[in-house]
Amino acid sequence: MKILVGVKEVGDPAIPVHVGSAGETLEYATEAGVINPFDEIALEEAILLKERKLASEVVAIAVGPEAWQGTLRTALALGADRAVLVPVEKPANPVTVARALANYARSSNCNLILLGRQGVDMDHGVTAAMTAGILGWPQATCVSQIAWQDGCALVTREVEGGQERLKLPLPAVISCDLGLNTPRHVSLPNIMKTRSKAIEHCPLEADPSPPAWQIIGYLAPPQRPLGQRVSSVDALFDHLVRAGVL
Amino acid sequence: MKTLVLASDQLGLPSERTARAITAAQQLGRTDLLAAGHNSREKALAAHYFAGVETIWRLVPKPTLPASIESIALHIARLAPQYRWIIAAQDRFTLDVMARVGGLLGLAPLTQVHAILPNDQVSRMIHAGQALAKVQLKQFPALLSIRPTAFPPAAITANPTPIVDMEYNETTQPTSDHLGYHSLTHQRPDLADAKIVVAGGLGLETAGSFQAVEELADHLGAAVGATRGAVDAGLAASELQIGQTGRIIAPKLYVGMGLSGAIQHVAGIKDSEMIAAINHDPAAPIHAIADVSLVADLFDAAPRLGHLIATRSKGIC
Ligand SMILES: Cc1cc2nc3c(=O)[nH]c(=O)nc-3n(C[C@H](O)[C@H](O)[C@H](O)COP(=O)(O)OP(=O)(O)OC[C@H]3O[C@@H](n4cnc5c(N)ncnc54)[C@H](O)[C@@H]3O)c2cc1C
Ligand SMILES: Nc1ncnc2c1ncn2[C@@H]1O[C@H](COP(=O)(O)O)[C@@H](O)[C@H]1O
Repeated sequence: MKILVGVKEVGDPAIPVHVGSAGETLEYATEAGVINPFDEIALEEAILLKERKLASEVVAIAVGPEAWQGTLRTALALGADRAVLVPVEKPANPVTVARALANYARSSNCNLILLGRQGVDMDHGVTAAMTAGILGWPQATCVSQIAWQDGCALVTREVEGGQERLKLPLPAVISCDLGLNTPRHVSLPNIMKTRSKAIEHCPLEADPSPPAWQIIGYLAPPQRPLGQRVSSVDALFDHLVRAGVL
Repeated sequence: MKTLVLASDQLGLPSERTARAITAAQQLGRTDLLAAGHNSREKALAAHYFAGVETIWRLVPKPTLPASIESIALHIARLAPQYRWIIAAQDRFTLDVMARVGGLLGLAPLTQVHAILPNDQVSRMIHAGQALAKVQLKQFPALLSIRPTAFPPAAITANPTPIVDMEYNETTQPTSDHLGYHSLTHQRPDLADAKIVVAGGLGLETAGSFQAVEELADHLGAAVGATRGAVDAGLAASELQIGQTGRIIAPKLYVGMGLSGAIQHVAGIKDSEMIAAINHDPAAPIHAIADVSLVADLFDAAPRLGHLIATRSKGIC
């Protein structure tokens, strides 16, 4: 099994984001990015498979600006064998990302693509199934358990109101949810060791068609009216009764 | 050109979300509906009486061909040129189908759609609801996955929409194989449909169980929800998680207790009609978001609230 892991860099989810006054930009309180939390889970799963000798190689790939090299270095320090940057100047449309992942997987004979269930910045949650569609491979998203049996993945995925179990033959695309594993921490010696490792660059192939849509601005979300603080449980109960919600 | 609505799913059952997608579709013109999956018959019948649909296509599963996401997506990609918009209310089933169709057509779907605007524009929620992105559509068919809580359900009509059976196209592509569903919370209403939701967070950890939340929920006939903090601590099942990476809900009343009101949790509750909160820390962000809030220990407040509700429903109050 040769595994491709898609990693993207996102603003730290613990730090709030604001819409710029002209509605043209998003303002981040900090420049520092982190690896998308779900991609950490995908990477951990790939590394575990390698440690169990079920995978021969783990390649981390990012479709992003040169500044994402730091995130790819983290992936190397965590245990990826190789890191590939597909350089783009502006944040890529999901179709561009999915095509780049599919092209790379095909040309490098990867037979498992592990992604995060969603990027926690743009909240698309589409890249895994889009990539699977492009390649014509089976897919499973929001996977919280994987077992391997006769070269097939037996997965449990989180769906509304419960879980679904699926069997996937390889090659396949799987997106990872919480609960799949607990990602390890990067150790300082590993960071030092991977310092000298090269980040490979793979040019983006020309898109056969332009993206379906484009962001033209940002809006602040609708605000809820100011609430009321009550001083006792009885007052809370009265409030709910008067509002007619009980 | 018309709009196609893909019917939603709830653990293999038809979902009320479909009616909300029909409302969104109606803003765009004439609407057909596609019921797909191994439960396509139930889904078609459930959509039968929603007003505003011209034709219900029912994709008939074949014994030889699993009704997988992969084969449904292939089928929709072939239908796509007849439609200008393909819409679904967001859930795991529709999102996966739409995204795969997007891969097949080379068109990325727009998810988390919050409003449909004039001139082929939509707004979608990003960053766990901290902002909306305004998006200009450029290629069609446009694939839209709407936040169901942002659209009311379609009306019911006395004239049922005709259901027309459709055969699957044969595919030689390898697909995933559905082995089964597993639900852990059959006893209480589902989060999506419940009029009242009682949610708990890490504040329950000292009790070692979710009992205080469950008891209040049962007094109210409510669904139980949880924060990721509570799920990670093993207090609640992961399917109960509400938020950016959990369920999105819009009940009449949401009661949150022992939870701080983190952005990622609030992303899932902000469409609720009324938000009530109980937290003993006056500085917890949930107090600022709530319509009505109480600074109190939940282990005192929840039983008292439960008692008031129980006595009222017995007609004593
Ligand atoms: C990428 C990402 C995605 C995420 N997605 C989600 C998501 O979908 N849903 C989600 O919920 N979270 C999500 N989170 C986690 C989120 O950021 C918070 O960590 C989580 O919601 C906190 O859970 P909590 O409120 O239960 O715990 P805490 O933040 O620890 O809050 C516990 C609260 O309980 C109160 N309390 C304690 N004891 C009592 C008592 N006896 N009586 C009354 N009050 C008491 C405390 O004052 C405190 O405010 C996500 C995080 C990330 C990074
Ligand atoms: N620019 C990118 N480069 C590499 N992988 C990405 C990129 N964008 C998204 N992905 C992968 O796709 C997953 C889902 O992202 P999204 O569909 O954008 O929410 C992420 O968790 C990543 O694993």
